[in-house]
Amino acid sequence: MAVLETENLTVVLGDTVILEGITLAVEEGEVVALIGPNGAGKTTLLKAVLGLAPLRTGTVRLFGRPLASLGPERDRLGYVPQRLEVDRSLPVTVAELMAINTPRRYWSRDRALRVLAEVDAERLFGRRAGHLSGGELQRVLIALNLLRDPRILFLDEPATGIDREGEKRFYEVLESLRASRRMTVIMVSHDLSVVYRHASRVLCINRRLLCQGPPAAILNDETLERLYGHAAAVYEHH
Amino acid sequence: MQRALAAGVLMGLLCPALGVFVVIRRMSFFGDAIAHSAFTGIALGLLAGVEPSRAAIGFAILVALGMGWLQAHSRIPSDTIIGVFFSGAAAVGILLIGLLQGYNTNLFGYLFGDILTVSWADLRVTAWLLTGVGLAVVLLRRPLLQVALNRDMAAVQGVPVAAMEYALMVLLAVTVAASIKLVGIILVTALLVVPAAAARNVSVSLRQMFVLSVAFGLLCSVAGLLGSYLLNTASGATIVLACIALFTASLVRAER
Repeated sequence: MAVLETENLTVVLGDTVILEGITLAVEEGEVVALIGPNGAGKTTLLKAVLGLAPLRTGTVRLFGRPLASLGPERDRLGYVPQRLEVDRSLPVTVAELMAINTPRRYWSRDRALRVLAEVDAERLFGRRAGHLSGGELQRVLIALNLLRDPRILFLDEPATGIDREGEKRFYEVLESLRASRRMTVIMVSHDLSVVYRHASRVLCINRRLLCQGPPAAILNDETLERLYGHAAAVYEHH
Repeated sequence: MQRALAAGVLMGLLCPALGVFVVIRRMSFFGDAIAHSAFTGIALGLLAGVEPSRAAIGFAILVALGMGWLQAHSRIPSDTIIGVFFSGAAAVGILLIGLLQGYNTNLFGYLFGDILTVSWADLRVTAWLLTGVGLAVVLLRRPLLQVALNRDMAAVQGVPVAAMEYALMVLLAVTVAASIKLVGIILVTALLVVPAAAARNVSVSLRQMFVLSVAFGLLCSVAGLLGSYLLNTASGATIVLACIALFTASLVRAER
């Protein structure tokens, strides 16, 4: 069953066409990675699907319905941004960050501790969010979404600014969550080795949807050269 | 003095509570622009024969919404938009002063604040306004904080982000315009920003920041008023200096 479908989706900001004619479908349980060069429209595609960027044309359907008529199912959408908008010196604790961003019907201290344990971050509950490492904060942001038991988790370059070890831990946690909760994951990523290891399908975006398929079929020199140009067609398989 | 203390307590409670959002969202300059537009509103009210405080609130709300609309619908940076409105409001205010020669004394009262002249009628109106703002802050604190922490995350959860942005601006406009009589246009932003900034320096959680911000605001309002009474100094300036002293102390503590 498709949990996300877009048809002929076009986004124009100012005079610039950011996305053009994107038609795609994501099945339940898939891990989909959006790849492409800087400015290709990957984040905009994520935002357009979530109603955060205006559509010039086209339609988006989540769980078979338009976003505006999702009703309570809207709670089942998880979203992890690249970063928070406040600076790190703000005295907001992890517990507060989670409570503020969770509807009351899903919130309890016990539930919060349980989901934090799922992302190996239980000990961070009382810590200040600004004192966490990049990897820890991203895991907390995932936990915050888990409180609403999401069916789809959208991640916008979740490993940006995280050290190698933190990034490895982050993707291990994500992989284990996907398996235990049967979540669909849709993520924007620049790291092709991560995409190779963790994605079940890759969508190549550069204003248009240029190609899609399993990582092994997509991540080859020919496709990457077409997508990124010569200099960027370097990636590692582990 | 009783009326002055009552007014001081009211504003000492409310301005710092709203100030927490101002500090988190980095909207201090926005508060200044609103205060200057309130001054223009007062001058317009005197010119048109409308009660100046009402004109100030109405005009401040209009300017706040105008700035908010332009921020949302243009690519002009926020600080530039605020700078344009700030100087525009100040220029119109000064222009109107020229047309209101006979009212200059009244206008200077609004510029520098004169809490000791607050009447019971003024106090009642201020109390109603600030109670309304206080209730709105209590009811909207969660979505306002969600938008402050991450607009996109809030929007995905169905928070009406634009409406919350406008709501915060209107609350700020009403609070600033209603507080002008206490500390004056030039210093009103200090009562919004400084207690919240001091609280931020010494707090370990957001909840504590709210509590300390209000406590600091209350303390500075009362201490400033009593100080101005004892030292025979300007009330608004004394309140703000009490806030600055507290901020300096918080800075010393935060640096340890």
